Formats: sequence, C-alpha cells, structure tokens
Amino acid sequence: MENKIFNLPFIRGISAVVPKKRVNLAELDFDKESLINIMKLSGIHEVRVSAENETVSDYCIRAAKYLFEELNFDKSQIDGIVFSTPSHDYIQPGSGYVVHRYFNLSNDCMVVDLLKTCNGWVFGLFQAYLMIQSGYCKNVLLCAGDTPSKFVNPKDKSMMMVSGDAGSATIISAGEKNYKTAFTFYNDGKGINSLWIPAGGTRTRIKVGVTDVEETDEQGNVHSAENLYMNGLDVMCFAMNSSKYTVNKVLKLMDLSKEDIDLFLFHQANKFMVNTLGKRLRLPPEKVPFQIDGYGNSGNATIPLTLCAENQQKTLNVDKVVCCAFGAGFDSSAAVLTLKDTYFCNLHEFNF
Amino acid sequence: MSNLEKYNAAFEETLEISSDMLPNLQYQQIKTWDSVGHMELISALEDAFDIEFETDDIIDFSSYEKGKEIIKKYGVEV
Repeated sequence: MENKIFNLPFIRGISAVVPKKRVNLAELDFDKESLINIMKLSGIHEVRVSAENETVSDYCIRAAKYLFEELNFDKSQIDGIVFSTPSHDYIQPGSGYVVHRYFNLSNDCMVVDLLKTCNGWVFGLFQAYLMIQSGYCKNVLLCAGDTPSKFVNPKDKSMMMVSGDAGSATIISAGEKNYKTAFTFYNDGKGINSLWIPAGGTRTRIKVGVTDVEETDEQGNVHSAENLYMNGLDVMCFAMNSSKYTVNKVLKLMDLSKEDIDLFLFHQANKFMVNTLGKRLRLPPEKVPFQIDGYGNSGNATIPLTLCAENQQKTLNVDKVVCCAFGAGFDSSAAVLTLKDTYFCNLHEFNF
Repeated sequence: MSNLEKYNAAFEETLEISSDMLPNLQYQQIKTWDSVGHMELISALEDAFDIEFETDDIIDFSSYEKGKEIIKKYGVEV
C-alpha cells in the first residue's frame, strides 16, 4: 500500500433497513409555528421509530440477510465483522457478537465493535479496509446504524424533529480490480460536551432522582443527563470546518479534483447542513443528494440509507464518490470510493 | 441598497422582525434568533455580501452590534 491508498478492498453490496413505524413531525406536541420553521430548514417531515423491543442490531441483521439473499452470497465467507453504533445492545459485549451469534459465523471470524455516531459508516469502512488490505480478512460485514429515538427526550424539540432509527449492512471484499480508495480524518476532543449522553457510562452512573432530573436549555429544549444532547451551533461549525478539511485533503491524497467526482455524500444530518456544506465546498447541487425526508437522521446509517434510497429512484452515477461524515467526539472522516460495481439493495422497512 | 440596508434586511427577513427591534438585539433574546435562526442569518449575510464567515466568527456573532464589528473583518463596512 503506497501513500495511504488502498487498492485491494472493494464494496460488494450495501443494504439498509428502517422501522415500519412512521412519525409525522407536524403532529408533535410543540407550537405549530416552530414545527413549520424547523421542517422547512431541516427538510424532514417524517421519521421512522423503532419499537421498544427492537435494537439497531435487529435492523442491521435484517439488512445483512437481504444483502446475502440478493447477492446470493454465502455468509460463511464472512471472516470479519465491524459493528459501528453508539447504541450497542449491551454495555458489553458489543453488538458485533450479536451478529456473530445470529449468523453462526466461524470462530476465525474477527469482530470489531466501534462506538461511533454519525461518522461510523465511513470510519467503519476504513476499519474494514484495514482488515482486508492487511490480508487478515477477505470478506468483512460492516453493520452501521443507530436508534437515537431511545435516548431523545420527547420534550426536546431540536432532537425530536430530526432523529430517526435505521440499520445498514455493507459487505467489503478483497478484489482484483485495483480500486483505489483513501480516507482522511479530523478529530477534536474539545467537542465532547456538544453532542453526548452524559450519564450511563462509568463517569456518571445512572442514579434515580439525579441523572433523570430534567433541565430546560436556552432554546426551550428539555433533557436530562440520560438523554442525547446536542449543541446545534457547535455541531454545525465543526461540520463546516472538518468537512472542508477532510474532503479537500482526501481529494489531494488521491490526486483528484472536485470535477472528477460524481457524487458527494455527506452525513445526512438535515437539509440545511447538507446544503451549507455543499455551498462551502462550492459543489454543484445536483451532486449533493439529500434523501432522509421520510426516515430522519439515523446517525451512521444515513449514507448507506441514502445510497439505497437514491438507487430506488434513479440509476446512480457512482464511479467516483466522496463520502464525508461527522459526529460525536467530535470526529469526522472523508473517503473517495469507487462504487460502480457495488450492488445496492432497495431500501427495506421491517418490524419484528 | 447600502451595506447597512443589506445588513438590516438579512436580520429582518430571516428573524421575521421589524427594523425598530434591531438596535442592541442579542442572540437568543427573541424566539426566532435561536441556533436555527442564527445559521439562517449567517447564510443570508454570506449571500448578501458574498463572504464566508470563519466558524469562530459564527460563534462570536452574538448581537446585531457585534455582528457589525465582525463583518468589517470581511471588508464590509456597515
């Protein structure tokens, strides 16, 4: 591998699954004027919400099953799992082992669990690419998704109006086509408190009457230490800075210009953010899709979900794609991918 | 339109307020100038003056008056 450019792995197929349950955001219990303004800016009018007994591993496993069936792929060939989510089934072990158990995979199959939010699919790809380029794996199953609905306070308008649940599955394989791929990264630990769930880990254990006490912030959003909290302005500013850095850097690494790229896929936080990032990078709008109306911001599932949803509507031109995502930490990464031989499942919805 | 008129228009249109509310107006002082309104205001000012704010300035842009100081850094006198 030269100059940080991968040439062995390729993305064989991508699948995404959303819950059947839809929530019409116009019917939420907030003042109507606020609802209309937020929906106009976010571009999201409806989201999907998981049932009480469903977790992100349920959706990712279902997505993997569709992928195996539609590709006619023998699941026993999977020798690596990467599971990327901030909402693992258990405190330990990670949900990669839930997948391993479900599909009864080989004891030689490597399992990597990542605690990553919206950057998790891009970073998970990097992890899978490392496993394959090193020669340790030939076929890696990347599961990426989130169920933010389980952590959002119903009285937090800013989060309720964008969050949705979903899971995805991607198979990355060792190939012979010499597809070049590179990744770049940008991290800032100073952003910890701007997008987090403070309680439930070992720093602040759950305590009734303490961690469940609700507070109202300056924007009128209600949350406790057990809820997902986001400082929207901080996140927006980080996304703008980091995206410009990682996208320009990865293009330079690959000796490409923006004009060489067919599609720029940003983490689909909301329409305003995607449009702003496209504007900041001076990208033609037709190359910057926004697809999550009807689904919501499902964290690290939004990029695979967008690819599968776009595929249902038109033929994708995906010879060269830049993917760029950003999430809690703060963290951000970008990648140049070739997807022209990638199979995209149609987006599926599912309930157990 | 003068620079001041363009500056004021960005505030009035994105925050849906009248011109008499502008002097000393602070971020989060009114319902429409929340974080969502703030990003819309920034975007409107960028479009009006063909500039691109640094993110530190976006965060520091805490009032109508402070904004006038910040925008000077981008060659815009209001």
